Amino acid sequence: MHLRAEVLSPKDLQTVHENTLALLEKYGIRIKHQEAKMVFLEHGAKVEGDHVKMPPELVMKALSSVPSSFILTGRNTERNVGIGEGYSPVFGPGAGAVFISDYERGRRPGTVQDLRNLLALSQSSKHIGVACAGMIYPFDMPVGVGLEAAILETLKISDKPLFGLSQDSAVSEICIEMARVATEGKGEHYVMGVVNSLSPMAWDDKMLGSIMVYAANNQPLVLACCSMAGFTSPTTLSATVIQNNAEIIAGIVLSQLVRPGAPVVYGNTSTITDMSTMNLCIGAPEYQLISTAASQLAKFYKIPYRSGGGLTDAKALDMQAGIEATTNLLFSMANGVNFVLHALGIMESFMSISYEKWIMDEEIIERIMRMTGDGCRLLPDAVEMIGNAVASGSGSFIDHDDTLDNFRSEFYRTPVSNRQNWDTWEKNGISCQKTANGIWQKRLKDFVPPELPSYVLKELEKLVQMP
Amino acid sequence: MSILNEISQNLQCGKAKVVKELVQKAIDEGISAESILKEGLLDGMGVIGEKFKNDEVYVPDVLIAARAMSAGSELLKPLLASSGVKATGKVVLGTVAGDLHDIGKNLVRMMMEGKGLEVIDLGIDVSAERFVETAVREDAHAICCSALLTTTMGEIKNVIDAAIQAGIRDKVTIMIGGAPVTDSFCKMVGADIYTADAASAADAAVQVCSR
Ligand code: B12
Repeated sequence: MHLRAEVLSPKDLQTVHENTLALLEKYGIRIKHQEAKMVFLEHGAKVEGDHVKMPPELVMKALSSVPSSFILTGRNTERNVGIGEGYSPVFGPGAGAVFISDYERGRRPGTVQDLRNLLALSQSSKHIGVACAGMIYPFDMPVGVGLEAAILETLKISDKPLFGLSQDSAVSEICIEMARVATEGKGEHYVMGVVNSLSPMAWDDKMLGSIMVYAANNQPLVLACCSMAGFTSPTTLSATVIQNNAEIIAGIVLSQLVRPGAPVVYGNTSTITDMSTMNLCIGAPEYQLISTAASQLAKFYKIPYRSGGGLTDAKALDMQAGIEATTNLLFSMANGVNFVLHALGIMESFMSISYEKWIMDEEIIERIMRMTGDGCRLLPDAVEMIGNAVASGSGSFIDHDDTLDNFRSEFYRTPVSNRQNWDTWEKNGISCQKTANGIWQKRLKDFVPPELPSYVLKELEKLVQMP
Repeated sequence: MSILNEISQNLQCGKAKVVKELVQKAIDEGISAESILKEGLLDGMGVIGEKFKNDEVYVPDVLIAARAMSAGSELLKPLLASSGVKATGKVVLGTVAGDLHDIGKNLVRMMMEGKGLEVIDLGIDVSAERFVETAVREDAHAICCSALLTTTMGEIKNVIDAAIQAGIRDKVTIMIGGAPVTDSFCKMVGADIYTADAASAADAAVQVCSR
């Protein structure tokens, strides 16, 4: 089954693009970072105070140097992933969570052990393509080396390509260095980070520092925005899309001025604001309107696109969580995404990760893949097959070759969703939460971490101890 | 309709210009500044606040009402000061060092101003020293810190330490909030008040200032 979501007509796309160029030329983007300003200035942008205004030619030239795809190298090169045109979407787990929750212990601040557990689940997930150092920020990490220690844990427990940290230039430098050491020169691009614009129409110093460091080192970076329509961007969604596009493009232009050809990903998790709490609504249907428009724009510029995955504002693993995670994953996969961050586990508007939701999101992805995969395969001999089976007298297909040969591949078996009848279900005391809990517990028990050569480990530990 | 009622009604519709004109008219008619404030402006904000709690109006409605409120109270300020009526209270607000999340903080400011508090908003990335210096200089009742990152929550401790250093810890209430902040963190770090949202933050601040 082919799903192809689009919201902008070719004419709309052209208008959004032209409006974006006009916005960047007339009003510009707010930037304080002196070095970044100088880079823009040297390349023909106008700098008026903290406003950087860029002529369309500068923008278009910079955009044209962005690679439409790239390979991200892992410690184990068999785990390398391709991101962008020609590759299937790569999934990353939920990230940046403050809290963690599970069926038995409820919601609580995340610990180092939780990070380790999630890394094991990520390494053993057939859907996750990258190892993400910032899934949660453990409260019990040693002070001072917290972030480096998290990167080290990630490199120890996973050999997938690193989705690293990029809070500011210093963190970016150390993260890139650690990834370089870990991948031992096996590939050109070995760590990917993510930065966010400061809507409306600004980039913060820290983020600009990270953009410059990632670009200078030729490492891929997701440039995203997470504006809140009605608060940090316009309520009219089309205008939010224009503002977002201008913000992301301004960041991308900087990366290309620092190093033409540095790989970047165009990202967007902007959505609407709840007008009574002013909370960001990542489970809102409007998110997919914005995200789908953004995906079309990224394709228009031939830049890989990143969106969100199983996003939800739900606080519990209830129907809201199911509706929101499913529609978001479905539309992300239908709008031609290249990299999905927060594919698994994320809850309550990015605040927490649930172990059980992680497993349930895997099922959602598998369901969507089943629907959008091979589709309905035709048989060369369907007429004979049906005729013979019916004539054979058993009147059933249960023992027919067609069943025996094909049921395993033809029918997707849901790991979590229950298909028993009422009495059995009740007798066994089954719930989706409990089933999912059993699945991740077993996966952790069976987990064997990949090998990390001791000389690499030693070198990494030295970096973590640096003052 | 009495003029004070008219002020309240127009404030509820967010008509800043009309409110300002009516306040001036009321002053000219000789109505006391305190009555205009309490029976006109604050009365209107009270109604809006109640409707907001009941989900009948939303933040943008509250915001424009608060704007109308400050347009009116500008005119009253000098009169109130000279008649010895003190402002409801003064707080210093900001997002802690290293953190640039300010949406929640801005909402807290809006709600506090709506309650008639004077809010000195230091913006984002505010160092512990700046929080405390400002509180000392302005003789503020409370320091309100917003933190949205696990890595910047620790800054709240620095603000508390700086307040102790400056010798004002027993005089100033330290209120904290932001998505990752919890009540148990508040206790652990030695702050005074944590609230989960902007409306309750404003209520708590009013209480603090009226002590
Ligand atoms: C919007 C947003 C952004 C915007 C901020 C825009 C802005 N101008 O503020 C942008 C995109 C720029 C951004 C950037 C980043 N963000 Co951010 N962001 C968010 C998000 C999605 C929503 C925050 C928000 O505004 N909520 C709405 C407001 C209304 O709610 P609130 O802030 O909680 O405030 C309410 C209460 O808490 C309370 N309150 C707030 N302050 C105070 C103060 C007092 C005194 C009191 C009493 C009460 C109180 O009242 C408010 C109203 O009811 C959160 C996730 C989340 N759901 O919270 C992540 C989140 C906080 N961000 C996160 C991260 C990682 C980042 C970045 C590092 C990402 C990056 N790599 O680019 C950067 C950080 C830059 C920096 N140095 O600060 C993480 C934090 C991870 C962690 N464990 O620390 C989160 C949890 C998302 C995630 N899972 O990744 N972010």
